[in-house]
Amino acid sequence: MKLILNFWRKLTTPSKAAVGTVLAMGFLGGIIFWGAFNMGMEATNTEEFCSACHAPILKELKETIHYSNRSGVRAICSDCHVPHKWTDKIVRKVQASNEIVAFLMGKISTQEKFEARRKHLAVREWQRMKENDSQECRNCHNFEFMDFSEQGPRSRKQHSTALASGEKTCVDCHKGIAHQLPDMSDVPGW
Amino acid sequence: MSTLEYVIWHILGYTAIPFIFLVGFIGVAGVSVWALSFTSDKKK
Amino acid sequence: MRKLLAVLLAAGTLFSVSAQSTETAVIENVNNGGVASLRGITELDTTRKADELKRVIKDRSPIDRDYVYQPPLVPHQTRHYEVSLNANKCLSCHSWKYAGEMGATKISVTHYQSREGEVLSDVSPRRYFCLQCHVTQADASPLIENDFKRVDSLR
Repeated sequence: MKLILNFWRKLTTPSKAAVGTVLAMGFLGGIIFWGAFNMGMEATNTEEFCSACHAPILKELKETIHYSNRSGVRAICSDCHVPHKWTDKIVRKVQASNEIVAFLMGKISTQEKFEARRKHLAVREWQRMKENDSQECRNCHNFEFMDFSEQGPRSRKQHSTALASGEKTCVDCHKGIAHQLPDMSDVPGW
Repeated sequence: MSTLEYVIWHILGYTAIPFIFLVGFIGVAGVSVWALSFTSDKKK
Repeated sequence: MRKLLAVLLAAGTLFSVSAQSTETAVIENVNNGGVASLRGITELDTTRKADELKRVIKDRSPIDRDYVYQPPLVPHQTRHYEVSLNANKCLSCHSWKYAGEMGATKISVTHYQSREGEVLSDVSPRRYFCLQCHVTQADASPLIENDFKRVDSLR
């Protein structure tokens, strides 16, 4: 308590240092803090970090087009599951405290538990993506710049009708593009 | 997620943003005060 | 010491000479005698340059059948289309429920029959795993030239 009062006194009394010195310290300190904070945030967005708990999911991902493909342009966990806008990103990171609790409770600590919970987790993500109009897909796959003449007949047909009209969003048809599917018996379209 | 969950996470998330700025400021201020105590603001 | 070295050298040269004579005999057994195979006409001890990798054709119009009960070929790629107990991606377009909406070929009624011929209300388990009979096509020429012709009714 004394430390806090001492600190407060220090902050509210003039310093003997030059104005420039104090300002420079604040400016540099702010830059370093902001850089370190965001570096830490990005470290929690890497494949290595996510797969520390979600290793079976990374194994499933390895066969998919988002992991390895012709051009080498790929997506990692955070590209699809963490919003890109900073404010939404912070909200999602605060929500991740829920996942820490689930980890401590061992909710998906074995393959069997994971398989049992897969449907629940998938449905949450599908709903989230449907609500934000598959924004994470559109961060890379921009519909406005899709060249239909480069697509096959099936893609051309579906993208120019259901997707163009806004009737469907990416995730409505492209479920399972990155992970294995849960029990799809009561999912529309399956 | 349900509406309640949405509201809870967004309230917590949006309050976290100024909280981060505050903690950052206090951190930088603490380091600066400590650094200045060695040079300009030496206790005689 | 010097005598021992001399003896060892002599023995060494003798061995190397005899080894060479057996080597030439081994080389002669490698000739393929002019017989061509899918490997081409290369000798057994040479490595032929590998063929180009073939790619599956992404999407094309349906392919006509070559014989009456042929499971139709898949004219599009099926990369990572899951067919498991949890989900059957093929049926999400080709089942009777969705074929009209997706503009896809319906699976035939044979897929709804059990082994005894009784008609079931959904796809028979014996026909559930599509890719056991239906295959995709790579963009490649036939390995062996042949003059197979379809019957008149399918040409």
